[in-house]
Order: sequence, then C-alpha cells, then structure tokens
Amino acid sequence: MVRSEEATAAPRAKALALAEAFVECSDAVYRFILYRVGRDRTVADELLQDCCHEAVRHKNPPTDPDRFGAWMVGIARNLIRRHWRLRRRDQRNQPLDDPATGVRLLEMLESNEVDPAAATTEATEALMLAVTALAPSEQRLVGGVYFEGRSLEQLADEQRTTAKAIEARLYRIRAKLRKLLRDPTKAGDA
Amino acid sequence: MNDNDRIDVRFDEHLRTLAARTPVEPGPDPRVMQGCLNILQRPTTPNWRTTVQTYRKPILWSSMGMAAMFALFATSLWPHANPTVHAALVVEKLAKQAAANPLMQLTVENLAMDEVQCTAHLQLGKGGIAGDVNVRVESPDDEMPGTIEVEASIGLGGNNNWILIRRLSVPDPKAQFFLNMFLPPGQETLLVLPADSDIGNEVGAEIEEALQELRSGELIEAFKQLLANHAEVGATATNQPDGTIRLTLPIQDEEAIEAVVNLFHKGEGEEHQDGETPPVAVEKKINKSSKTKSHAAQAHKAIEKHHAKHVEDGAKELIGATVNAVYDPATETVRMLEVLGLGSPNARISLVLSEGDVDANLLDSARVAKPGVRTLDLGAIESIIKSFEGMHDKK
Repeated sequence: MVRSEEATAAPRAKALALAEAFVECSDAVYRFILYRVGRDRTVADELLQDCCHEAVRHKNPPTDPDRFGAWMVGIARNLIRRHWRLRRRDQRNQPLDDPATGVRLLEMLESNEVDPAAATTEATEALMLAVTALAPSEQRLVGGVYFEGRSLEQLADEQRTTAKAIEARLYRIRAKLRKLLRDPTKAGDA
Repeated sequence: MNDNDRIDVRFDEHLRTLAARTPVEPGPDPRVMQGCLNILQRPTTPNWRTTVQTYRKPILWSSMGMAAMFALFATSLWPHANPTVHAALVVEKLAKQAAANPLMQLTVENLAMDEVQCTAHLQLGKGGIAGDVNVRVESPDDEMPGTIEVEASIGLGGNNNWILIRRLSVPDPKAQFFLNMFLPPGQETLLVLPADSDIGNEVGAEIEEALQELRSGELIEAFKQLLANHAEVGATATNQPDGTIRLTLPIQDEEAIEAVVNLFHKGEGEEHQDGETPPVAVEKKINKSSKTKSHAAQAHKAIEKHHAKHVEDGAKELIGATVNAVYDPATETVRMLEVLGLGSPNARISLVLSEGDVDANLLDSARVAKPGVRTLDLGAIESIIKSFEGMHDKK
C-alpha cells in the first residue's frame, strides 16, 4: 500500500507541535514532579521522559501549550503515584500534601502578627507543592514576581500586556494559591 | 477595601518574604530536555490498542452495517428491474430477519483501509463470534518501516474465550525478539482469556447495537424515503437457476451516497441527544463540575466526529464498488449481501444470513488448534502475578 505525502506530513506536524508545547511547559511539569518525588532529580528526569513516552503514544494529544501543560501534569500525577506504589519501602520519604501544614502556613501568611521568615521547612515544602500545582503560565508569573523579585512592568513588557493586567492575574492566582494551601486536593493531588 | 482584599494584601507581602528565602529548584537538565524532545519528535508507531480502538467500530460497521444498509438500498430498487417484487416487502423481510438474531457469516477479503489490510472469515451469532482473521498494518514510522502482521483465530462465546495466534510479526527487531520468547515463531500459541473476561459479552453488545440499528423501523422508513428520491441508478436483476434473484448495483451515484451518509450522521446525533449512554472513555470524565461536563461533552463530540469521519470515508470508498444481493422469493428472505471492490479492486465483503447459531466446532479451541499447541492461560498468569504481589505486600 503506497502512503501519500499527507500521511507522513501529518505525524511530523503533530510531533513538532508537541515538541513546541512541551518546551513551553517543561519547567512547570518538571518541578511538579520534582517536589513530589522528594526532590530526587534522577527520578524526576526519568519520570519526565516517561511522561513524553506516554504523550507520544496518545492518539490525539492537545497541542495548545496551556492545555498540553495541564494534560502532562495529569500524566505526571499518575506516574508519580505508580512510582510510590512500586517503592513501598521508601514511602516514608514521600512528600505528603498534609492539609494541616498547608492550613498553618496559610494562617501565617494571612495573619498580621506572625513573621513568615520563621516558617518551618515543612511549611516551605507545602508552599512549593501548592505553587507547582498551578498551571505552567501561572507558575511562571508567580516565579517571576515572588521568587525572582521582578517588577510587574518587566513581566508586562515580556508578555506584551499591561502591568494592570498582570496585577489582576496575580490577584486571581493568589486566591487559587490560598485555596490550594487550604485544601491540596483541589488540585487533584489527593 | 474589604476584608478579602486586606487578607490578600497581607498574603501578598508575606508570600514575597517567604518566597525570597525559599530556593527554587532549576528546571530539567538540558540533556534530559533534549532526550524528551527526541522522544516527542519521533513519529509515532501504531500500537495494537489504538489500532483496534480506531478500526473496531468502523470495520464492524463497514462490514456488517454498511453492507446491509447499502444492500437495502439495492433491494429497494427492485421494482425498477422486476416489478413483481415489491421493494417495501424486501426491506421489511430483511428487518425481520435481523430481528430474529440470525447467524451471520461474514467474509472479508483483501479489504484495505488506510494502513490496514484485512481478511477475515467470521461467524457471528447468539453464541458468540468465531473464525479466522488476518490483519496487516503498515507502519507509518519512517525510521522503522515495515508491517505488523497478525494471523489469528478467535473464539469468543460466554466463558470460552480464546485467541489462537498463528503468526505475529512486528518491524521492531527488539520487540520481535521479546515476542518470540512468548510466541515462538513457526509455532501456534493459544491465549486463553480469563474465565471472567467480559470480552465475549462486549463483542455481543457491539453486535446487538448494530442489529438494533437494523431493526429500527424509523431507519427503514428513512431509507425507503431516500430510495424514492434516488431511484434511477442502473440496477439489474437476474433470475438464477436455483430460483433466487440476484440484484447487481454498481455504486456510482455520489449524491445518493452523500444522502446515506447524512442519514447516518442524523441518526447518531439524535441517539445521543436522547440521553443514550455516552462512550465509556467520555463517561469516566464526567463528574459533578459543570466545566468538566462541558469538556466531556466536547470530548464526546470529538469522538462522534471521529466515527462519523470513518463512516464518511468508508462511504466514499464505496463509489466504484458493486453491491450484490440475493433474494429468495420462495422463503421471502435475503440470503446474501455482498460488496465488491471496496477500497481496492479485489476487495470483497459478504454477509450470508441464515438460521441457527455459531458452529460449536469453531468455538472449541481444541478442534481449531493443532494437537499439543503451546497454551498461555492469561487468567492463570494474572492470578500468579496477583499472589506474588500479595506475598510482597505481606513482607
């Protein structure tokens, strides 16, 4: 049976679109995995590649970067579960989305009196689990503003929008973060 | 500023302080990243699961449903060739035959659709499905060109479910090496499916669903109307020595085919609007959130569109094909429906309807397989794995 040129061009275009979408969300997906496998970079590397194998085997993967990111996080979540299931003996090292730690951190961040600089390691871990559960584009924004200390104007220039729009997005992201700290299962991290 | 805004301002300030003293792990190593990109940019190889999912329904429909539907089209044109036989009577007889759960002997020879070539001889009936299947899938992978070839016999009926692999070859030499460990070349291997496997019932449900369409009075009425609008298409009728009448119809009328395809689409849309159970894959996605429901609806639509596309493609392949139907006036039954030249000049699909059930000999693996055939009991293997996992858990 002779295959037409279209038949070979379509898979190539699909592969290219997948690769482009992956470049956009790879950091976010990688950190999502890393903070959930006890920051073991070897395991995270392996799981990220497994995610790509799963993605390429799928018949109709989404190619829109945001949807692709959320979809890859879904794949990653299943692979992480399998990872811990296969390593029952090491499960004591598994970072747990303990609601109590998240709630304590949230109270601290919302309160007037407490100094956040006194936060425990568990609390910062809870923060990172919540941050990495955000969508890739949201993670980039939170990373830029809070972790790298960049100005709203800088980010607005990069994203070709206004500082006001960035501010509004951040407001929504903070509300989402508070929700995630209060209840990590909201991100499907049960 | 309301309370919520005040909380947000404090949260914002404190988050800045906390984030400033929290180191963030860097992204993936460039080499890992390159590895990932290599994986993603490699064209996909077809795997058997997606191939089966993609072609199961279209093949079932095109071989059973469409042969029957287009033969209805043909038989209903009878009055123009032989006025003594009334078209409506023939259509109704066929619907009656379908309602009586007949034994269907399906023969598919040299059917070629996209990368898949198929030859099959199957019996489908109340007792299950049994017969021989040869499938050849051409790999679209440029790096590893070749074909996946499967020669097998199947017997699915109640608790007696098995697949006899006569030959299985894949283009990937490593995969072939591992396959040879389980399925030695030149030797038949009988895969016995677990007793509680639901595959027989699933296939039964698919057949039942297809028959349900045939039994639908509305569909028959719609077809009659459609035939009235496309009457002159050049059918010929021949009286055969055994008293039967053979109707031959070359499919050339694109407009009529388009009308049939539209009828299919209309029928499918109505079904699901009535709240019929959506496909399992979509059903799993539905939960309480309305947003998810809308995603599920979108996914459902996409699947419907995908199936509709296959029906449409299949229908287009029919242009240039020939439909034959054999009607027995003595018993007032349609004996055989046949489509020739579907997709390739030497392709043939035929459906012979008769009373009775699937041949018990075909359902019996001991009669189909060579004596001393190598057997893999998938149920036993599964229980060994489970007990091993249980031991591991206790430790």
